[in-house]
Amino acid sequence: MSPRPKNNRTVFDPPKFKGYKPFGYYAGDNEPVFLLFEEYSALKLCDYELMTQSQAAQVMNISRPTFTRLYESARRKIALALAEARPIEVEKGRAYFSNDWYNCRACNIFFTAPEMDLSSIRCPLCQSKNLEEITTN
Amino acid sequence: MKTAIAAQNSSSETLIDKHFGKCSHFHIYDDISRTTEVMDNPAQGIKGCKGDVIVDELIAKNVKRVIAGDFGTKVQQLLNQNQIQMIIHPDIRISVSEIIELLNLKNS
Repeated sequence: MSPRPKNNRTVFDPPKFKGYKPFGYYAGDNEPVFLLFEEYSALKLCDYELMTQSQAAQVMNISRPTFTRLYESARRKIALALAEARPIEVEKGRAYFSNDWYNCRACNIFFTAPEMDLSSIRCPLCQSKNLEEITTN
Repeated sequence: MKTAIAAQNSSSETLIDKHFGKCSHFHIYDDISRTTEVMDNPAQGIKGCKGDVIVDELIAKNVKRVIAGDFGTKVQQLLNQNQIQMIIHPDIRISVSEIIELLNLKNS
């Protein structure tokens, strides 16, 4: 019997980085730790926006126990990366973005585009068309 | 189109603020008349979520686009419902006047 598929986790803004790298004596070519978008989001909601776990679970559209597991996994991955001096890379998991975000590769800003058709989207600051759409589906 | 820029103070040379809800002033730039209006953050002194007060004020002023270093989760939901474009500028060492210059280039 196959297991029940995971529900999508609602994520608001994309992380503003592709990863983190340690520097110093032991920071060689270690295997990276892959942090999922939703784990980053769980950590941000709890420890940066200071929500309670049940508030954050509602925001992400998952149950409170699921949120706790996600949050724990985020903390463990970051602890692993710090303890073993391994780089962190962010990876798309089962995150669902509530807004469609675009990243301009020229000036590196993030923006949403309500009321705009997809073909005419340009970066609102530099007018570049070199955009990356940040969606998971 | 009117653009609200979250800023650290009321001068045009100030840097943009790293958090939308917690900024001290909004610089509202109108790219048709090319004028800037400076508005105090109406939610200053309110503890907790400030989003609804600010978004109501911005809608009253017909703002269609907001720029800040970051947005909170609740205010993102509100802005999205009201079809206001959000722009996250991760490099917060840019000043308000530099952003207005960039917005002007587009029109010319």
